[in-house]
Amino acid sequence: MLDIKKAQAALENILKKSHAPSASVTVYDNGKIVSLNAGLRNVEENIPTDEDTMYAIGSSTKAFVAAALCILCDDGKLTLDDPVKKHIPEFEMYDSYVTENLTVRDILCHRCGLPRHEFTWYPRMESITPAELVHRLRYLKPSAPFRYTMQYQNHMFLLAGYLVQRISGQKWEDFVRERIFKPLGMDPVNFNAARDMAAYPRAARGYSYDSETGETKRMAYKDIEVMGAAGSINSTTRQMAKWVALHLNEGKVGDTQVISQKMIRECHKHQMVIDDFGTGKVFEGYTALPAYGLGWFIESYRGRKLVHHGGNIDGFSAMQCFLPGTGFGMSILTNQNASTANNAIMYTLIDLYFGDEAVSWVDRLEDFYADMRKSAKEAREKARAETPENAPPTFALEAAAGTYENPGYGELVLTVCSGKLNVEWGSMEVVCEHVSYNHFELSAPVFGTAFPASFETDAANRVVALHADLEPAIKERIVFKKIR
Amino acid sequence: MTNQEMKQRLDCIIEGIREKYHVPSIVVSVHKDGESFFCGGGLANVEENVPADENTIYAIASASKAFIATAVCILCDEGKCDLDKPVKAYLPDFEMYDSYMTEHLTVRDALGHRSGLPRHDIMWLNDRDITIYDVVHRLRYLPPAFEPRARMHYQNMMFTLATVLTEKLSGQPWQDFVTERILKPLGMTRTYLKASDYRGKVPNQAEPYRYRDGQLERMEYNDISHLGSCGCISSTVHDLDRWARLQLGRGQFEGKRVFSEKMADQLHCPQMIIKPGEMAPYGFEEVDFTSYGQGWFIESYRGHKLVHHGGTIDGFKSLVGFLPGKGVGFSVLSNLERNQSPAALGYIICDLALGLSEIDWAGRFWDVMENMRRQAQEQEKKIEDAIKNAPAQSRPNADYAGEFFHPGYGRLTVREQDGGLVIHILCKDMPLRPAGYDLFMADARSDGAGYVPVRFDYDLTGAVVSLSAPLEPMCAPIVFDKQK
Repeated sequence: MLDIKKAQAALENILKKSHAPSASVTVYDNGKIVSLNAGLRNVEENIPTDEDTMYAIGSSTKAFVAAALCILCDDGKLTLDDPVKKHIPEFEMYDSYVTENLTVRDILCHRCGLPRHEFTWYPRMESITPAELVHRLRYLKPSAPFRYTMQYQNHMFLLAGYLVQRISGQKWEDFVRERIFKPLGMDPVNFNAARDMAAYPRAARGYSYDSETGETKRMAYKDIEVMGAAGSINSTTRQMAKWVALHLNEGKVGDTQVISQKMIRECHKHQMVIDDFGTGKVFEGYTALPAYGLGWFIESYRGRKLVHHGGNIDGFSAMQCFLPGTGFGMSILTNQNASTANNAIMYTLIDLYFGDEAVSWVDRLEDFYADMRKSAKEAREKARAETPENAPPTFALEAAAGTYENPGYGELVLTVCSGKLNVEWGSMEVVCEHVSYNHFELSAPVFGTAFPASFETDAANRVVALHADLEPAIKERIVFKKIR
Repeated sequence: MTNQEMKQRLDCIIEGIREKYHVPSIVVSVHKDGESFFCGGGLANVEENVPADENTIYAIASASKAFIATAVCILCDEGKCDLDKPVKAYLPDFEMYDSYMTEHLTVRDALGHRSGLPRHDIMWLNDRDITIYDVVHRLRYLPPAFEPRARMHYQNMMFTLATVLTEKLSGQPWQDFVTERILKPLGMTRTYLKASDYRGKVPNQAEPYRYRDGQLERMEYNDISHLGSCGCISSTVHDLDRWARLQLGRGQFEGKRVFSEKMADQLHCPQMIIKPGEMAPYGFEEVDFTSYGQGWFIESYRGHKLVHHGGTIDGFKSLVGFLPGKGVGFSVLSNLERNQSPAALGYIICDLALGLSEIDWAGRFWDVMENMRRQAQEQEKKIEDAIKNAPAQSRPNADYAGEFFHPGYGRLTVREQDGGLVIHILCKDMPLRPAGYDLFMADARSDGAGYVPVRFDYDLTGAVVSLSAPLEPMCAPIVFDKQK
């Protein structure tokens, strides 16, 4: 049993320490529903949140797409061990062996060998289609051998959504709406933050907190429909708790078997090991044996099996979780970018529910990320200190202006603006700073990360390409050839 | 519970299990609270009335796998080996049936049972005049049963491969390397890597037995030295206590560093998921998160991480295990075929050491084994009925006789004897009972293997050209060509 008073106090404490504007939690406990809410869904207008406030659930979406493919398995349209190519004949990956052998199961558990390659889609999500991104998979280099290690990424879920469409003839969104939302009675729920959530009267606004300045700033709703199958759903905790309950009840809601027991168990089963060395001190002694199922993470938390999936998308951090066999699960939604609150709330409320000794999860997580930020900053400053001062590029900046292209990553345009290089890369804000010689640094404030980059010149000292370290899992830099 | 109390309780439980399971002897080591103790007993040699104690030598069978995995990790510490390098980089002649695996199988894949190769055990049981090098050479003739790395499948020959790799990278016979680098620093003086080094030569060794139809029978000692360190080591619980403490100490034993903590993580952390039903026929609710590291099984037992590896060979059953971070290690040795006392005692030791409620593991495993025995009997009965009602065989016995050959499995001989046919397989003659037309049943009941179907095929002229038998149940029947 969850002590509601204590849970509410814990929730408020977590918001205070994480600076998250609001959180809504709906707990499903053996058929009973309880909601806990704290904070403001709209800071500027001082509007408190509740369980009917809409948030973006981010990557918690992945479990819906995995379930959609499992339902299609129930329908006899495919099996998890079918090669993707059987259903998408023109499908191609970088490695021809993977092209032939990649299965539906492989794409749902992050073992295809691809790292994130996030910048293939993030900067140009408004201008590219899922089919085009699927086509461009053939240009993305893997960073690990096939089925070798679990590497979390989004492209394979994009592919999963595309596969739903190819097999069912319906867009994956329509399929999920009809086969999952409808029988569960999930409403409101939608797939587009910029259009549909923005138009919804009871929507939370997304925010980010700057730990340096202590400021909370509003973030724009993002239309991520192109990568939607990896994270585009928006809903409320009251609705999402129905989804969590479906998992605890092994695919059944009322008399309707939405997804067979066999297939839903497949989602919660360990499919791929996650290296548990180096998860950091933060969870040491509490979590163990982490793995990925199909669209879900699985771990042993204080000796109990916990199935969960978080989500992070511009301005929002989410968490859906349940403990199989206990009848206990939660939907947790917050309106803070890259928050610690979603994780902290999950572990804190689980501790409370089972009466385990309390751990200050929000403090542990906040300290952990503060340390990470600090060491990243120090590493960057150290690297800067080691670079020679006043070492100008070997070419005039104007020579670098032009259009650059990489077949996987698309196009970016460089211009010179008041003595500095300016990067136009779709809708993503990118800052380009000179470091030394032909070395520059690209940074994307939305991700809070910076990438070393350098220009390649030919024998005539013409700038011919930009090499950017956009995918840290791959040693070689991503090469953008100058095409104009 | 103090160690003294635990020893008393265990002695009592072991006595009960010995009686229930008819095991001549069971001996146990437990390390807890910084101290080790030994318990159990019975007869190591029933005919000569030799009592078993902590210095009695037993075959430990597959618990040998962790020794060679540890040897490989020591070579990694020395920079001579990299778990993620293809085996072919070290053994240029290495070849698998599947050319992709020939090129891509890494050392980690080999030690984690994810090569796609099934057991093919009959191959090395059938042909004993071969070396570890021959076994590795024949891998190219053994078809896989699964897609590369798609699932864990337990087998032996990848550890023969690791044995060959150890010889190649250390430049020493593997026995010398393991003796110098592991046995000596640990003071494991009664551990033997080759049966011929101790059988009949040193006092106090256990003999193998089986219990059938209410009778205890002595078995022949199965020397599998030709397989290398996938199962040929013999040891005592006195020595295995030290071995378990080395693993518990993450590579350090009494102040001596044998392998690095980094490699301890590789050995003891999950690398490959084992899904329910993939490894053991029983699913106990106390056991979850089952996986394989490198030479070790890992699971969550009642919420606690347990690392272990058992062994099974004619007339012996063993188990070595430890609870990382809890300071608990143990070993169990016994001399009765397929008895589940080590598995039961492993969990019982965990229950006692962790102060958990006791579970009747002996009863549970007994029920599982009884159930399996019943099913096997029913299966045998079905085949016997089919034989009784079988149509006549198509050809005279003389037509079937001859020598048959498969490049991986070696030679089988079919001869006429006493008006019937016998097949020489697994180094012994087994009657071939006619089961209709060209199908026969090899009677392997005395080996506990029931009946094995053997089918003959002939060409257009009616001459017998081949024999096929499902010697590896995960693959299509193995075809042996008749030799001219």
